[in-house]
Amino acid sequence: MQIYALANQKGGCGKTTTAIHLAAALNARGKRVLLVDLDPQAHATLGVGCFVGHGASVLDVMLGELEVQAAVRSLRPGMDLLPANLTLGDFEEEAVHALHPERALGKALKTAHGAYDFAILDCPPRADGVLTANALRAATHVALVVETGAFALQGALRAAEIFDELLADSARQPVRRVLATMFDRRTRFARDVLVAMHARFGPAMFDTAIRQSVRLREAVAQGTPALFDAPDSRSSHDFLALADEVLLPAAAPVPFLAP
Amino acid sequence: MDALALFCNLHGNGPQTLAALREVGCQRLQDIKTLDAETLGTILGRDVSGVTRFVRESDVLALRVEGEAAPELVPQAPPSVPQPEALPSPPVFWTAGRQVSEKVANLASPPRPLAGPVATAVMELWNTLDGGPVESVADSKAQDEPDSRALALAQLNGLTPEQIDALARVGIDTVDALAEADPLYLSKRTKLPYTHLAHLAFLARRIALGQGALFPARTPERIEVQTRTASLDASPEPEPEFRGAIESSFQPAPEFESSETAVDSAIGFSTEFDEFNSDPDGDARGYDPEEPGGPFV
Repeated sequence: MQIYALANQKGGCGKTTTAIHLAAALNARGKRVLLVDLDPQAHATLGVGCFVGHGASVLDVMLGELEVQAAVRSLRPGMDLLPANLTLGDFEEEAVHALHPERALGKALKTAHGAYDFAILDCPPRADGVLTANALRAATHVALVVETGAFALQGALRAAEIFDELLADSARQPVRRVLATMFDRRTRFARDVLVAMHARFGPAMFDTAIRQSVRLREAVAQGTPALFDAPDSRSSHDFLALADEVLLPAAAPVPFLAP
Repeated sequence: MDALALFCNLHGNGPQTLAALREVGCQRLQDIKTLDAETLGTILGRDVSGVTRFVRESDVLALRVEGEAAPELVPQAPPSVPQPEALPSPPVFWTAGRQVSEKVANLASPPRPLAGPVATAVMELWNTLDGGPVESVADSKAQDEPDSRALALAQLNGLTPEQIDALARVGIDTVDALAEADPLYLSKRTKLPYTHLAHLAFLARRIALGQGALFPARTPERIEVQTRTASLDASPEPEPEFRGAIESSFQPAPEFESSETAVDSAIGFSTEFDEFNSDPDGDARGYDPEEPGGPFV
């Protein structure tokens, strides 16, 4: 099972939207996908139309109280959700009393290796929390999601530096990629930022850039991924292209900011 | 990085344009010129002028992402084959693309001028705004003080003698070197705070720009300079006795057009919507034509 962690310390850069639609696109390509919501705000859970209540959640799995298969909700054939709820923030407190709390998710996902081809982890918008550390430790691939807006490069470089530090002492080094989101090709500014990102991150960049679209905002708000609601929309094409890139053989893992 | 994919994101319809170009055998950015105008127009859904501009933009992107490799984009025909000039009626987009390539090749050919077109445009604008010839002052300074670009003499705000020594130990002893250095790398080598080094590099780039250096002729650095308006200054607070002097020396800026806006327009940097990429769908403005009805019904 390949585990993709979509991370950035900045909020509002498209992590949750990307996680939902990448999972849907991989499912559309015939893969068995598990979407894991690691954000205490539970936006990925809401974004696929699931109720955020007090039922089984990723917290129970990380605390070792439930198996993954006992906590997932089936969204469609071959696509499941490991939901979050508002109590997920309690894991930070629980982690104080645990030994190696940053390995909890990795251990839990090992039990589901045969059931899925991909796990997509939607990380919370912070870099220093134990939830993000869990995602980075469990991941085979870390995708830094960067909005093509002002301060994009500066924020991305800062986040990349932090993630490199967090992963420096990890025995298993994940493949690191960078994804440009919210790209509006009509503005010269956005085009220049995208070129600058390619110049800076080089082969780590995904060739696909996710374009800005009202369709995506509506899809998340309605709880139905755009791929299922509007399969011919340009957003669907973007995410299918991204899924095709994800399905390509991975390169060797190198830090985001390789010397 | 696949430059063709990047180009399709920038000026085409993303993966759809990329797939269509690959179907007709276009695998690299350079292959765009091998396509005839009709095929390219069909793929892009544009007229001759749109196709011409698409080819021209591919040249510009090649320069930006591949640097010195750009002049090679001009197809070199074998000796036995007639050169493109000898063809009876070359397509319009071909001619335009070749002209741009030649212009690009001239720009990139050594020796490069001391001040590039971007720096020259900015300097001319600053001359106008400041009411004085910056160039002549810089020239006379350069003659009197050959080391005027030394870091120790630059008087960057917040740069202490200890930090100058630390930077010199890793080979950063001039403003230009600091401007081109990577703050993250420097921070690791010198153990100085990243935010402080980022701010110093930002100031150095401004100085380098004012002195007519080539920087920031390349796009990545230009983006960083222009977007880093909120760079955090982590320099030490000034001493209390100096603080009053600093505050009293502050003069409100004269009223004129925002210099940042003017500089942006002088170097062609704009956040306005681009005519070439104007999207008839317009759904980024809130109207999605794929939605039946739409907000106006």
